[in-house]
Amino acid sequence: MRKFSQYIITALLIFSLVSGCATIPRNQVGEQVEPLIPAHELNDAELLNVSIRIFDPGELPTDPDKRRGLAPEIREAEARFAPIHLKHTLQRTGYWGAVRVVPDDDIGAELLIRGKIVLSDGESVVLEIEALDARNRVWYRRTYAETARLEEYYNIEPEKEDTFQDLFNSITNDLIIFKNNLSPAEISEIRHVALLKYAQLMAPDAFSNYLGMGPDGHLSLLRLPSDQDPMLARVNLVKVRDDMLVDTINDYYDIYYQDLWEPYSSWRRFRQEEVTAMRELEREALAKQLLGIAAIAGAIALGVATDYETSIRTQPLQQVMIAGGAYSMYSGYQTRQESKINQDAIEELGISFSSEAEPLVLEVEGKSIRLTGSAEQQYAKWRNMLRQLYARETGLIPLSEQIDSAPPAAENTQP
Amino acid sequence: MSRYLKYLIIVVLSVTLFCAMPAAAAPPQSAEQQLRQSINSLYKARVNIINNHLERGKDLPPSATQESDFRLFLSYLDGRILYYCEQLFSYGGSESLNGTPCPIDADGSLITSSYSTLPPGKIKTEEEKAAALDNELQASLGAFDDMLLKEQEQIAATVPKQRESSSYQQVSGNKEGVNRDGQSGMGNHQKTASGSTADGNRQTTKPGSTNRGTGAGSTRQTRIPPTSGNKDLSQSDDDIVAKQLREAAEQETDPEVKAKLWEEYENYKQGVN
Repeated sequence: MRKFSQYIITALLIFSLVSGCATIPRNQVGEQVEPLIPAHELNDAELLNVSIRIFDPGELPTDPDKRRGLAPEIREAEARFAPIHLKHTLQRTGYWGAVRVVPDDDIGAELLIRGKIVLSDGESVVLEIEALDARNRVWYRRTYAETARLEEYYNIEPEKEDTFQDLFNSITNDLIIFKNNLSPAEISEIRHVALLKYAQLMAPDAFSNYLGMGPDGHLSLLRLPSDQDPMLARVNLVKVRDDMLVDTINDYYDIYYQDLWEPYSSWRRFRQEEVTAMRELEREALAKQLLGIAAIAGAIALGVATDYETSIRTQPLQQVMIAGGAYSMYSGYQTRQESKINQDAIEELGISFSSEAEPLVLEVEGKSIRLTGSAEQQYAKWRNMLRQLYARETGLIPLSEQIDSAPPAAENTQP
Repeated sequence: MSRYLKYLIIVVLSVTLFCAMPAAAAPPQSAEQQLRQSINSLYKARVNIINNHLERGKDLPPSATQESDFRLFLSYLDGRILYYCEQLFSYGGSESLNGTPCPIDADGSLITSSYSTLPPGKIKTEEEKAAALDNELQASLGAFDDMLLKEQEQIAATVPKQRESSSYQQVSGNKEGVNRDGQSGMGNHQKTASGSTADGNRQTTKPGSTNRGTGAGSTRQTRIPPTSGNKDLSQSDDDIVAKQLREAAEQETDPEVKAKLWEEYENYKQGVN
């Protein structure tokens, strides 16, 4: 019986120690990941433009304890913050051309990056990243996770050093490694395919025969238009405006990122502190309560298992053990009450940050929608003009009164 | 004599007051009023220009070049009128277009494609129609540039909230103006090579690139290619549109229309489409 009690006490103590530990997500990136930097400045021909789509915010945890202090508004903010920070990280490497954050899939993207937030609770971030080029070839789909160390919450700087910079550097380095494995011919093909996809969208009549699609859905170049092609020159004029528009939207994103930096960094840091303190207190409380139970159980075991004489002799000890056990249990209860204060603090942090982040998200989204909305009307008009121009210049399409008089708004395909 | 002096003083005071009053009492024009005035002035100029052109044609038929230049100019004017119509429409819908020549359909929507201001029957060949369409496209692109420029001005004037009270380095508040001399093409893929050194603060731009860095950590990546000719305020390099705008302004007798035409000329020369 005594041996059995020893086992119970040991098991309870081990459980109490383990239960207070944080859960570390899998697929952790390395520590102190340095970004790859090219040995020399790359030529234009070696560069690819990158479009990073606003991330999928994912789902919040269903477990109420894990969900504590998190909110959909925070996730929405993170779904914008993370791609903007990734943009800055990519830009700083010098391996890429123009890097832009886009509200939706960008039809003219040379390299499109999509991401999903699997987990983000201030302590850890888990992102699913997919990279695919204009040829519809998926470079890779990977999951990246990082649990921040304490010092990583402090040595931070907008655009340059985030709390989870190792994760952003890992994504960037993987993209660079993949790109460096592409031949110059492949890079050239990606760029041509991207432009011709855009040209097909703007002037389908003129550019329908330049790209082929394989059974796997991959696009390939069938032929190239002449550099002097007047339709291509016009499409280029439109494409430049499209890029300008995205740049303007990115300017708004950058302002949003700057506005969010301070409250978001503070939220992550304070949340981590509160969660750590709460976890410590809970572990302490559990240990105290288990010790109390063990002491009471030991006292009972002592009374039952020994002979009468020993039982009488150890009665004061049994009483001390029971009293001590009861005190430990009470003390554990009090410690739990303290950790409840931390829980409340976490909830408040979440509510406070949500109320700061939500209007910023709404503001930047409103601007993005307003700009893309007005641009879409323009694109429809330009598509119609390009169509008419192509028809008149080539005579390949019968000129009908319908084309001449059709109002541009009648065409609803979106860029 | 003193009686005359009294009258003189009264007259002088009255004139002084009269002269001072309009300036003090004139209410500032609203944006809508300004747009309506721009549309009507340009439309009036357009009618005059067509009439003059037709009148001159009676005596001496225009050469092919003159005819082509005339159409290009009209097309440019159309683009400008339409642009102002669209702006006015965005303020107050179809009702705001009352009293203007802006074309609207039965549903009250602004018709942007069918506002063909060319005199009926004047365009004869497909090439000429294509040229007119091309000009319309250029004018439309120019109007879009204008919208983006205004947007960028707004951004440049915006200070991120966090920076109002902190020492964060300003990133987006100092944008470069838009340069209009770039041109991209299939064989001319132009990009920014932004690299960073150990201090993480190097940003280089390829000459002639469409994608430029504009400051610490921020990029202004696209340059607007020209929609028509180089623009400065010297007359020597006036292109077809500038030349005709200037001539129209010089010949115009209505002061309001004249002022508007000069304004359009200056805007065009400075690249403010």
